[in-house]
Amino acid sequence: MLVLTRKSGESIRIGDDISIRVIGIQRNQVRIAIDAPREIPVHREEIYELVQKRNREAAASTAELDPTQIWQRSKGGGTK
Amino acid sequence: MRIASPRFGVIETSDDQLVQFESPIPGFPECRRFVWVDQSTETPLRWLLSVERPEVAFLTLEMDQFLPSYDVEPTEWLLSLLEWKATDDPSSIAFFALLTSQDQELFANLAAPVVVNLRNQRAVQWIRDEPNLSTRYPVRALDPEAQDPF
Repeated sequence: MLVLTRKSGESIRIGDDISIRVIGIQRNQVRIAIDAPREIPVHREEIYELVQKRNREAAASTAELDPTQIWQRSKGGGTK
Repeated sequence: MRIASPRFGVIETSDDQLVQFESPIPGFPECRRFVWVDQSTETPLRWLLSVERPEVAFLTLEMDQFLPSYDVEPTEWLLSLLEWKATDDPSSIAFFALLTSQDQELFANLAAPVVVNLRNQRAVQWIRDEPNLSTRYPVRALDPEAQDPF
């Protein structure tokens, strides 16, 4: 892994079209500005990981499902 | 195009029916093209079946019918990825929640809906950076008559 030291206002360039700039440093927090092409989404790591986990759960948990049955159960039956 | 799915059998579809993801789906980066599968007309649930990995399918629910208040304003970033223009019909943008099943119940991920431009079939999973949105919202509570969850 590459580790770089940057001061506030300085940037890092990744490839041709991603730029990451440190725009503020306060105690244990840094503010970062990211410029990336629109097809490269940028997310906080923990949010990305949660969505990744939910997506995998979604695909795995419904693999054997009969939609009609579970729909009726979800809407009608069960404890409200 | 023919897609051989272990669950749905062989599905024939034309290329212009394919839903094309414009940015990778977290956890499934190799799955960029999907086809809609309506297994049953008795439910509003629809499958999004992966072309690249036909063993992968997501069960979806269109938000509009069940949570009208979910009609949120898509960001400029999202609209540009979907190639939606200001002159286009707003109703061509549709939001689908991906569903998880647990203990015979369905849960909707409201925080990361799949947004589809129905006009050109371009899609994005929109990760909404909003902590108040549940990633496991019980589907039985999703009802136009039910209380607004927001």
